[in-house]
Amino acid sequence: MNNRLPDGCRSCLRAGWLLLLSLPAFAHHSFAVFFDQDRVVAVTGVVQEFQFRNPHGLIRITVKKPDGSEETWKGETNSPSILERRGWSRDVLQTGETITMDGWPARDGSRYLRVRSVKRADGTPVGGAAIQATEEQK
Amino acid sequence: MRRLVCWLLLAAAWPVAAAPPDLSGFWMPGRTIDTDPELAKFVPKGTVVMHDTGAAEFGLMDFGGLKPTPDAMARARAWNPRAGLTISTACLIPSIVYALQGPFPIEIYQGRDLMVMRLEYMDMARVFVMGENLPDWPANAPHTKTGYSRAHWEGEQLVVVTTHLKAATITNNGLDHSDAMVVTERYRLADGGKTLIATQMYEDPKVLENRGVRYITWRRTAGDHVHAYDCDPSFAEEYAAP
Repeated sequence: MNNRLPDGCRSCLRAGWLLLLSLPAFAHHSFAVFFDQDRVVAVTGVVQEFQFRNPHGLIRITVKKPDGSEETWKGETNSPSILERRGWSRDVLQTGETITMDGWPARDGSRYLRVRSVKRADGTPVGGAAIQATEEQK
Repeated sequence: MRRLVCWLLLAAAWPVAAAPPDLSGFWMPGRTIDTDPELAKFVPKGTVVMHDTGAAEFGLMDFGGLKPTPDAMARARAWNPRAGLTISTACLIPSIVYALQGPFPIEIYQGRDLMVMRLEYMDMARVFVMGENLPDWPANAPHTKTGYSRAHWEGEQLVVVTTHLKAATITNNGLDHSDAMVVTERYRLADGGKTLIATQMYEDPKVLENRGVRYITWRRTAGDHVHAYDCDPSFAEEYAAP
């Protein structure tokens, strides 16, 4: 089980993972103001909650730390309409399943990230739709 | 008979106004561009090209070359992004100045007298009243997030001028336009109709000392339509505490 970043986590800029959820998208709030677009982190944990809502979805996971204690991480996704076109739905994530999500961390140091991609425990990417070349720039 | 043939030949040769390009359809956000040779001809010298189209956004106090007036600069400096994200504000609709350039699709219905542009973002719908020399609205007419848009064709380009926009963000980082904002857009088809390219040029002397333009592209996508966008303000609760 992976947890904190930057030291405890297997994080950072894996090109092969690219962009199941697109680059930082349209933010109601400003992405650039709240998230650090120069870093990417990844956390693995158990899904507590998945909210599929506008302007952004939210994935809340429980991450077990090496010392056995637990902490909650939150991942903010793109809008559901964008995700639906990539194969996501309201029930694409189930409470209790283990996932790894990566993305851009909050600037304020909180355990909050803007989700770039999500994988299930077996490595399967969440959302089956392949991203278009033009979307990768978004 | 000979006279009839003459009339038919004359009728065939009579100049007929070419039908304008058909922009109708569903358009997904396209690639990011910095300019377009056809549309750039209509961008006045000194206009700053904004590089925040699509997902890109500027950080605090970065306005991409726009020059805010001293008052606007002071408001931007005082802007607190976290304080501004509350249940009351999380689902506020921006004006088309910000909404058009984001990474959401649009859908166009083109008619002779009216055109409708639906934006997936925030379920917005714009109406373009077609015609040249259409009357201005009075200055005190209602201002809305979509404004009052008059449009006409200049050859292959659709020109849309929008006034009566309600004050809202320009760059999503504390710089807001005023009710005096005027947006001029030009749209043209490219790649044999597969691509739609636009310039969105905006002027607001109450807030900006210069003029900005965005280049925006979309790609025609068959078989899709805009989705619903039900905004849930409880999203702001995630930002209530660090």
